[in-house]
Amino acid sequence: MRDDSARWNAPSSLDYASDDLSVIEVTLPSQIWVSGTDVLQIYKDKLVSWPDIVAAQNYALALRRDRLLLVGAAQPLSGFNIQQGHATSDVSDAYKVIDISGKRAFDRLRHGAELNLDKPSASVMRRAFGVDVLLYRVGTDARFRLHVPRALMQSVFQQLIS
Amino acid sequence: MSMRRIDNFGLVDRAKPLSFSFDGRRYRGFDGDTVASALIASDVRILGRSFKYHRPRGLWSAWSDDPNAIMDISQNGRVLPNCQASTTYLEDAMSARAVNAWPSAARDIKGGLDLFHRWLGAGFYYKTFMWPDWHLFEPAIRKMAGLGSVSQDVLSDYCADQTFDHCDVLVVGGGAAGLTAARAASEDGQNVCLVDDQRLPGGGVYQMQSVDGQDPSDWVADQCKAIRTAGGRILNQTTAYGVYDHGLIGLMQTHRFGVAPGLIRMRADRVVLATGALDRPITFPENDRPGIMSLAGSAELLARYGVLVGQNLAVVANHSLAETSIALLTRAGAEITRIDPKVRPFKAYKGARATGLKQGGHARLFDAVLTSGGMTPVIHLWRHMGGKLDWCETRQAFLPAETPAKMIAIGAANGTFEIDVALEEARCAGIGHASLRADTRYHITALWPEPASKGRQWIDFQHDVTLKDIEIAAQENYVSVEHLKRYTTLGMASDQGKTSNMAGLAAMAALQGQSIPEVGTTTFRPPFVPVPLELYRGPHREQNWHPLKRLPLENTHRAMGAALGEYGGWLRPGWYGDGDPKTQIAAEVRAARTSVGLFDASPLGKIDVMGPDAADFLNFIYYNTINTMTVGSIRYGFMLTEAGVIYDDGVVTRMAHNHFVVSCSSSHVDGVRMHLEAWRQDGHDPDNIYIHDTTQHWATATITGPKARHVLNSLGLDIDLDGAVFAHMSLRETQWQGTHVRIARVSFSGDTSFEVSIRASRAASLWDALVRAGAPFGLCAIGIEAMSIMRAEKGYIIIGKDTDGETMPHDLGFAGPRIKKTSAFLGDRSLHTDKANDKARRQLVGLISENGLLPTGAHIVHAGQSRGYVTSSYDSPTLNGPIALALIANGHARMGEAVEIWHLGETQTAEICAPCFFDIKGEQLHA
Repeated sequence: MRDDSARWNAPSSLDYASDDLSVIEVTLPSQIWVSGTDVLQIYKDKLVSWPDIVAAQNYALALRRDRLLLVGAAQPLSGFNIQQGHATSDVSDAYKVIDISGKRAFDRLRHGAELNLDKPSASVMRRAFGVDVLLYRVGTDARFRLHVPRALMQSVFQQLIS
Repeated sequence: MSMRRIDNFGLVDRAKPLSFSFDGRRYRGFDGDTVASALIASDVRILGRSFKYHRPRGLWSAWSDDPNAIMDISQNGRVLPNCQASTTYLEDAMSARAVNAWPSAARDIKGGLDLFHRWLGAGFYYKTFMWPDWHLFEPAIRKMAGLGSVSQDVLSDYCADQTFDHCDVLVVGGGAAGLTAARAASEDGQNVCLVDDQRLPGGGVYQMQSVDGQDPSDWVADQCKAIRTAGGRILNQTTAYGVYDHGLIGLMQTHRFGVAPGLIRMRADRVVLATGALDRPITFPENDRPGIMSLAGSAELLARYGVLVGQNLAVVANHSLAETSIALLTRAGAEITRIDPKVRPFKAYKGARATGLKQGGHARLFDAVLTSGGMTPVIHLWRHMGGKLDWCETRQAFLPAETPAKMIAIGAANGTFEIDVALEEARCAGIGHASLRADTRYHITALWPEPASKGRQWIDFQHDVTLKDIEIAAQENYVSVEHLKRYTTLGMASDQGKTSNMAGLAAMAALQGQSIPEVGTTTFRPPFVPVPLELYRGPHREQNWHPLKRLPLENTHRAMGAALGEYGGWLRPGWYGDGDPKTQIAAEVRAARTSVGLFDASPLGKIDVMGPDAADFLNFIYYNTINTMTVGSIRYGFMLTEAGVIYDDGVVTRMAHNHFVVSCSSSHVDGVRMHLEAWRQDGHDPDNIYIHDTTQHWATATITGPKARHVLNSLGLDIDLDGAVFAHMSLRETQWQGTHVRIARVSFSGDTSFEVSIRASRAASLWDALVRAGAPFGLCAIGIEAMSIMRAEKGYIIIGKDTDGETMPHDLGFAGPRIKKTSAFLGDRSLHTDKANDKARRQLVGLISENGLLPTGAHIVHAGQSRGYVTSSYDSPTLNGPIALALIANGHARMGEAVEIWHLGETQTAEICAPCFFDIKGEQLHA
């Protein structure tokens, strides 16, 4: 039983800018997990893997052979759709999302994650700064988007900009 | 004539003199020197003391295989302990002090310990300090042991930069073979990274007169230029110190003194190992005397630093490569006397500023005695990678055998000692072609320790392991190399056996009448060279050492004056307000019991389990029956391990026919998710079960207490909260201000409670609304400390606090499913073993004490034996007295019995009672 409030910085804004690194928090309309044996096939036109560059507002992040994260889609009720065989959960607030750009962006990310732009991966899931995150590019080849579990975003953010 | 600097030799910058001190005396060196080379150039013969006997130690070698010159070094107020003088580059104003020696290495006051060496052999500690108690001797021994001293000053900016990297080809070692392989690979279009641990690459090529017809320095410069021109990278002062899981290579990049090294976690498609070979000592009486050093090391001192270790030199060597070193030393003007090591008896002795050798009745003094018992390929990384070794009789060395995936050894590391052959081998390796190991022109006469020979013969210079110690170990049946290592500490010095292991293995082989490969090697483990702990810590410090999970409402709690602390991996409010914590917590309990409390329960697990098989799956996972639950109902249950032990407790909600939400303990969410995933994929059809951990999407506010319903009603929700309609252990879903909310009528406080869950981004709005709605009722925000007291009053457990690694459900009074549940469930079989049915099992009970608060952890004793312990103990604000929960042997059958409680030598009595002190009939819970 100890008051450790002063040992931990209060959560701060996720926006940061320097000459060669920019981090901005992004609010996405929705994030929805969809699991099912055929989800990757069904959403193949919207599917994003590593090191893809996303241009659309509405896309599907490939996570594993039977799971993806729909970004920007209309929010269906969570549950299991027996006709489709799909399990759906709204996780719009489970991930905090930031965009990272600037000359140092990739270098900073490589301080926390094993990344290789030359080696494609079927999944955008990564271990970065000790946390399971989703990582891909958006808009340009030098702008990275990071989805981080909400409760650990402060730690990832601090490590990213330090 | 003694040790001195030779013109026209070496790579140091003589235009940049540097000043430094060693053991309080001032010396000078040059930029490019190591601390060791500068001291040798200054004719300092004793650079350290051995670990046990405090014998004087001179430099053995010129780089990382030197076990003797270990120093605490400081510069500009920055002190680093246990630096290898042979690998620490000299900087101006450095101050070095030999470790394990006082007042100096040359005049160590503990040098007299060597007089007692007859009584300090292998196993001395184990045999001598058995009686009456090791702990009596331990403090003094520990004070004497150890090497350098850690400074009390914290280097706040000493922070290792850590990064990940990748390449097609990683070449380890920048000698002739490494440079050639890196050039070939780069020019072949591959992404190449060459790492070399020295400031200037080149390895041992500077000892040669020419390489490929060029001056060695020019040749190295050409190779480096070609590698860089082709796009390759060269990382100097970078040591590949270990190979880890899936071939990840740890690279340590050192910088200026006092600057923390950097860690590069390198992933390479291929690794070319060009780490060279080390000179090994010859074992003969008094072979540890200062002035006896490695032949290759002395050549390297001359080639890199321009230091000749003496004019009058004896060379004791048994192989053909010695000629290259001898030629170099001769060019520098040394007079060489060849000594045949096979002519015995043969021993060293101490001379005044010289080293004596006696052989065949003749005694001679030399400035230095240079020995080489053969070359040992550096195959540490090869073994880390899982590569096998073969014994080569021709080379008298272990060589790389079957090539592990992604790694190839070349040059001296592969036993290819001839430069022309090595260069061709390297070119092939660079472009990915393995070549068969060629026949060698190298020849060596086997020369290994001879057990039972006279005199003190050193095997491990730093740890003072002698041939006699190996003999003692063999006599006492420590014949396995791993046991030998641990019994004698052979190879456990900071050089990790680079100089000692081969001699030790050979000695043990001779003692057992076996061959060296039959005895085998010890396990090669990272790191190859000592690395500072900071390398591993890097940015994982302070708040990033073990980052806590943060609540969506943290800033709200801070604004309310919450005292935040770690609870199960989350930073949560323990209590609110600045006053005395116990007073604050007690007030929160009273408010919640008499009116209404508001508690942030966001970390509670919310794991969706969905699919056609979800019900049967959870019925298997849970001890309790799940598949009979109706939609909208909630059930409390236990998850067990296969051993039948309680892993987690929590509630399950049936949201729909094939959709459940598992609300596990806050601290167990990640574990439970993995537990569910593991069983989903084992014994179940994973295509019919899906597990989504949505915990962090939600925030949960718990309203608890007699006025909870009133507060919730004030929110204007369109559901009937009446207890007859919305019963305990059921769930409703609705909208609040356009946002979907789940309201679960469950309770951890034991009072009427509602858990309202909303998406995290709307949590602050909901919390504020509840605070406003509760104000007329005296609503009080409560922290987890108050909640812990309330749940204990009710007898609700916290897993891991009121249970331990043996607790089964029936120990808590939940015996029903064990007896009645017919379908298979996880842990079932273990609940019917003799151990599970033992009457002496520890069972959860309550304790009442009239003597005040019982200490948590206090033992329930009988006849001097522990019969259980207090798991939770509080001064209950509700009951105005102490309450406790305990696990006690056969506790359920001992209600009303008085028991003796022991804690830190004091005893008191308490009475066993049922583990429920509040609302025993459940009237408030179900109100």
